[in-house]
Amino acid sequence: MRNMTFISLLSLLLPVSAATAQSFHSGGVGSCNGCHVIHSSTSGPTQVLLQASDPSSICLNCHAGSGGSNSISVLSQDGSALSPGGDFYWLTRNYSWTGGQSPGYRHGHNVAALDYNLSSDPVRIKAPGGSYPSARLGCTSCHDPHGRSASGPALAGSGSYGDVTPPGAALGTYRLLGDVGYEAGGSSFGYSFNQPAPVARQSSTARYGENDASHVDYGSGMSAWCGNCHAGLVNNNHMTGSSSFRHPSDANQLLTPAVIDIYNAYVKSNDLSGAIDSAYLQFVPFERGVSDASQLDPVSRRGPGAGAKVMCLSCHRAHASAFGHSGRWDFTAELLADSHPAPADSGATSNDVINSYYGRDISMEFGTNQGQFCEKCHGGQLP
Amino acid sequence: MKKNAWNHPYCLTLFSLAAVLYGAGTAGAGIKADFQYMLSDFSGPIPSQWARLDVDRHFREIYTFKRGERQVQIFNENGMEIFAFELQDNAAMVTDMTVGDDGSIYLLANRGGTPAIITLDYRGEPQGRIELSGLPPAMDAFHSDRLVHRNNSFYLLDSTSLRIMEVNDSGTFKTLHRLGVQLQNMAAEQDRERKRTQGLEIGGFAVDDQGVIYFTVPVLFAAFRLNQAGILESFGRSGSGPGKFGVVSGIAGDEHGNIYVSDRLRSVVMVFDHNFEFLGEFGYRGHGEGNLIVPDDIAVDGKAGKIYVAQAANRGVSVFRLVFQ
Ligand code: HEC
Ligand code: HEC
Ligand code: HEC
Ligand code: HEC
Ligand code: HEC
Ligand code: HEC
Repeated sequence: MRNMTFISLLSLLLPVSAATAQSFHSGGVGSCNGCHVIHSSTSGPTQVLLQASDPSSICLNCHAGSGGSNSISVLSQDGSALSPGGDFYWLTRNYSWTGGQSPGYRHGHNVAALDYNLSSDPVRIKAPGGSYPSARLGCTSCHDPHGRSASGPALAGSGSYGDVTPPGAALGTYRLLGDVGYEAGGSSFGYSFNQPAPVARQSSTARYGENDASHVDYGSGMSAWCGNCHAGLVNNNHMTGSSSFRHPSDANQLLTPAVIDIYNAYVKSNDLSGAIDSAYLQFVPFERGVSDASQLDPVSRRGPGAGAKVMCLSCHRAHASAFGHSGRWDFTAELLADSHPAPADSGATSNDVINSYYGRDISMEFGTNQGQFCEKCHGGQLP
Repeated sequence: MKKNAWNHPYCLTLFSLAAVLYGAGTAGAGIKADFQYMLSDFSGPIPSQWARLDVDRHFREIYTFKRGERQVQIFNENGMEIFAFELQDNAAMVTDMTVGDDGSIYLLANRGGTPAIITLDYRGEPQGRIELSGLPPAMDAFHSDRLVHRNNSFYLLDSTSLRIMEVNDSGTFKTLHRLGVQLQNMAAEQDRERKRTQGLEIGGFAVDDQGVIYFTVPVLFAAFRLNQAGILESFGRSGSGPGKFGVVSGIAGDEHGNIYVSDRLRSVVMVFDHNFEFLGEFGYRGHGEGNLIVPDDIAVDGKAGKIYVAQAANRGVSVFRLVFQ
């Protein structure tokens, strides 16, 4: 049990809003009582306590449960939270088969949430391409629990749904992600972000869902933001010490006209009969190169145009996935029909197989000879 | 398989513990909660994470469902496991379990988004499916995640669209409670400046033997009672002191109308009478036997005066005896 006392910063936060907010965070700080146990004694100062094993367990008090396109759960017990960020459930699933394995801790960001049986990465000690320690990784490493924006005024609501900013106020950052100056993992820790929160827009009718017709429409800044902890990968064409994979993922990496043409024509392996208006594929998102969220359209199936960029989430999920390296697909399967988890794997349930590709049956929909989704941008031939 | 209470491995520690609990583990004048034991098998307490609970009102047995492991376990009135099985049909998403008056086990399965009720006997053998019929046209978007069988009816909850459906024993539609408007209005009242209401979800859900429905909405810091006439009442205040709501989750009502509410953040179970007067609370975060860690679902066996509390941190299910003063 961790009982922390915070007195100094209390005065800083309290004037913002102590009222009960119906949408809880409302882009900023929700009711303190949902996260802190507050003791006001007559003698001493008011104590704001965190009553849990760790900060992430506080978040999961509300964010664990059955998934659904309007459920805020990001940790289910059955892989049903098919959200854009992905279900931390996958960290608990270990798969093995003759000649291979896919251990749970390789499936994404290992947040420590002991009340929910999640623990830190057992192997990596810090972020590849950066210095953030794995032992410290939790929800508040990336999300600001108090939703402060770097730019001042009181927050009037969520910044995730492309709402117009009300006069004299500001909206929260996309998904409460830490902004410039955010002290990731608590103010006592001393790790401060230098890249701003990204711009993106989710549909307000399926707020936690994802499919080709309703999805987060990414605007700009995601790679740079991931670079708050993985700067080396952003600046060095995705080269890491332990891997030979090279790929441009710089914040400025535009999709070339050739790549744009392929994306918009690509339907599946050996089928380039598609059209731009229905080209969007949830497994291969891209940024539209837009910094005003109200210009993004989360219910558009339109493929990329000039200005679009490749970014970290073109290939990875932010939380976790069924596959190694938090991949949006199985990077190790030459043909995606051979992805793991597969029905015969030890450790896999048939729901895991269905949920691994967000309910889509790859063989049925794309055919048994579907290759890596790199093809969506590069066609059959890699550059 | 009936066992004498004295054989229970945790029975011996009971007396010393009760003394401690009286002082430290319970607050409020109206009730006293004595920790009894954890649900166990012969090798000790059985770990589980937020198991679903239901009491067989006839045989006084307690059923638990572990969603992750897809396992049902049955315990006798002394908290010892008497039977356990894993669900066979691997393809259905089973999100909840409830127990019928005859000991039948009903599972809520979602295949392709439409709810179905699967019946098993007490040995876990499939007995068939109950198809829902006579549903109003708008019902195809009903994604049910909770199921309760009481009062010769099934109650299905869709926790994110804030609707509760009642069907009879054979699956024929009876009523649909749409709670959205009332809950949104309440939210708007709590928070006047912000017009947009989002993220309301029903947390705990229970129905008593008379068909009175109880549920919690954690983000509203409130618990609700919906009686058979359709009248919705609410209670609860956000805060950290005794009787105040942090992150409320499980709820249950007993035959006297007392209401039990668990709180994940404060790690307590609070008890209220039928007028919503606070009677007391017990638990508190800690590793002592009478403490609780992130309690969730609760089940009350009024006749035996027992309350079962499912917890997180793989802690399993704690059993308390309640004494009203
Ligand atoms: C969504 C959950 C949440 C809400 C709501 C919330 N806090 Fe916090 N708060 C946290 C967490 C988690 C930490 C610890 C930060 C960490 O370790 O990353 C924290 C830390 C703090 C600190 C220590 C300073 C710091 O930033 O490390 C103070 C003071 C504080 N909170 C006050 C408040 C007050 C006052 C409110 C209500 C206006 C409030 N909090 C609302 C989750 C929350
Ligand atoms: C008391 C319940 C509760 C707790 C505790 C809680 N949340 Fe939330 N969270 C919600 C609800 C309800 C929503 C949806 C409404 C909204 O967006 O405010 C939500 C939404 C979110 C979103 C999306 C917000 C947006 O604007 O898009 C993020 C990100 C999030 N929570 C992260 C966290 C983190 C990180 C913590 C812990 C520091 C936490 N939550 C603790 C209830 C909670
Ligand atoms: C490594 C950084 C990181 C960590 C750690 C992290 N998140 Fe997120 N989270 C994100 C990003 C980035 C998004 C936006 C994903 C997208 O839109 O593709 C997100 C999205 C979300 C959402 C919206 C639903 C979704 O999945 O898109 C919620 C709710 C949320 N996070 C809660 C949490 C909670 C609770 C934790 C801790 C258990 C957590 N996050 C840990 C980065 C993180
Ligand atoms: C607050 C720091 C932080 C931020 C921000 C962050 N990461 Fe990480 N990331 C880490 C740490 C620490 C690890 C190593 C521990 C682990 O793998 O659990 C890691 C590991 C990873 C891995 C390897 C996972 C595996 O098991 O192989 C991937 C992929 C990754 N991050 C992608 C991203 C992406 C994409 C973003 C932006 C959406 C991002 N990270 C943002 C800290 C961060
Ligand atoms: C074009 C697809 C693609 C993009 C874009 C991409 N990655 Fe990767 N990433 C991969 C693949 C494939 C691997 C696995 C490489 C291997 O097997 O060695 C990987 C591995 C990783 C790892 C684990 C590295 C290790 O040492 O094991 C991290 C961390 C990571 N990526 C972070 C990021 C971040 C941060 C970004 C954005 C700056 C990003 N990736 C952009 C495809 C991509
Ligand atoms: C969202 C689109 C997108 C996806 C998905 C994508 N790429 Fe790329 N890739 C690009 C762009 C843009 C470039 C830079 C322009 C170019 O060389 O065509 C690039 C360049 C490359 C290069 C040349 C690298 C260099 O340093 O010159 C290789 C090799 C490559 N990609 C491999 C892959 C592999 C392997 C995958 C799948 C793991 C993948 N790409 C997925 C967009 C994508």
